[in-house]
Amino acid sequence: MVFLSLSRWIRSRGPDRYWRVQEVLKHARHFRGRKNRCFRLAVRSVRRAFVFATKARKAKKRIMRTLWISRIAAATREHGMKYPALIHNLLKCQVALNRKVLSDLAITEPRTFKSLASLAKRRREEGFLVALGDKGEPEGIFSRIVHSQFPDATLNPESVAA
Amino acid sequence: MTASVVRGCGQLLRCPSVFCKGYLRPGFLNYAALCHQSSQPSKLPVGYVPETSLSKPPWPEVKLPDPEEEKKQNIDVVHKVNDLIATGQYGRLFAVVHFASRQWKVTNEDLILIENHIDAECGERICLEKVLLVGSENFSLIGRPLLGKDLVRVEATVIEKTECSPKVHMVFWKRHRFQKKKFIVQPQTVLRINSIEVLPNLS
Amino acid sequence: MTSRGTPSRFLKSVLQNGVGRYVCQLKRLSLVFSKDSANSLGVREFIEDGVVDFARQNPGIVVYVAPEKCSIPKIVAEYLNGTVKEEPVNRKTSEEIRQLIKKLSDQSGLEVIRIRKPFHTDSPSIQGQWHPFVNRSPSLRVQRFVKEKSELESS
Repeated sequence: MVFLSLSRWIRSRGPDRYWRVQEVLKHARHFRGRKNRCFRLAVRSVRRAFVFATKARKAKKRIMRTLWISRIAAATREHGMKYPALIHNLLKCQVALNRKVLSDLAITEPRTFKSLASLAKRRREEGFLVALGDKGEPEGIFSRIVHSQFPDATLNPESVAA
Repeated sequence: MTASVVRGCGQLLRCPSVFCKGYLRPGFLNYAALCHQSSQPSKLPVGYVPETSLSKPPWPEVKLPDPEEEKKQNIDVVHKVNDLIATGQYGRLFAVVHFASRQWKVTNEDLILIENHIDAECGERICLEKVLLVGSENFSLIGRPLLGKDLVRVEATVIEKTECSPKVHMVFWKRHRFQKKKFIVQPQTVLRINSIEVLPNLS
Repeated sequence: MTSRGTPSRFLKSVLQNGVGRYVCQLKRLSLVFSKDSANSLGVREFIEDGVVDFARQNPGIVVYVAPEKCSIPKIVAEYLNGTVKEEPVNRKTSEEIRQLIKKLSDQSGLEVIRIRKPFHTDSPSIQGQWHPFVNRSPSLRVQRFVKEKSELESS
């Protein structure tokens, strides 16, 4: 017996399923467990991996910035200052270096970093002197600092009584 | 004597209209002196302010060096740096350059990758104008915020203009049947820094 | 597409390209197309219009034009470091092919994979790299040895 019309009952459900599956599995080959072999598990894992990669690209910027800040803080503390003081005073001196470059200078060019730190320190001291108000502090300001209004007075009761 | 001063302060606090300024007032001093006559008349230094939490600023005392001496020192330093630059006694120079919205610390013969398209063709020479800092082993010139064009010149060549490898941008919300997948390919340019020159025109 | 899943390399140039003279990294360009099929219409138009101008403007690139019997027309680009890149140009317009060829000529033959750092220096530190003793006084290195009186008397 020859079944002549047997071949007519077979139909192809799409010739390229293999390549569609491989497209997903190739991104899962370095995963652990069955999700590097089985398509159903791999689809979910690959989707999660892509979403994490997308989010991480934004988080990387935040992470790098905190790293630079901690490095700059460590370097300024070696010179006897703190990170907020350095940044604030460099801005007041109109020096516009960003944290990435400051951390690179602290690592590879220590002398230049020292000069920047001393510049900020000097600007800070000048700021303190201006804040104490030897000249130009307007009247009526409630100043935190106590000044003696009578530099010539002595707490000698006999002289006061007289 | 300190204790008496503190007690006097406490009594004054009850009348807020009187205690309008944070310094010791004349009447108060007399009052304290009359109430508590000490057997030992003590002569206190001029401008004496008793030690409280508000008598001194919270930062350590600052003494700046003599301005004239400082001026001399500054002029000396500037002359030294001028001499070094004029005689050419510097080795390798580095510069901090602001380019493509980023700051780069740059020397001769090093490569930089920029994530966008530049109008120059491959092989063309470019001058990077926004220089923030120039330094060598013994001196550094800090710009406030930029250094002048007649002072520093940083030149670069465009080597390569490609696209970056495709990055996946995927969004997925669970239980909402929402997912998007996009491939991002950005144009990239590679620059090689050819030279950094400091011109002896300092003022 | 994840950074761990794909290979990566550091930024570099082929044989320090820009330091002295700039050299165009593309050495050979072969346009493979068929004379009759509709796929290679764009390629044929480009060959009529733009190939000669392109070859004259880039004297360092050798352009081969090969009409063969092929199902899909393609452009084969060979670079100075040996990489061979084949790009299918199936059903593309003349303008698209021109831009593609411009992009290929601007590239160097290095792989298009993730680049780890957007900079490369051979001399990262000029003033000397930081080490823990950079900002400490050299008096830390000095240690005084004081002889005891008995030893001094005995000697």
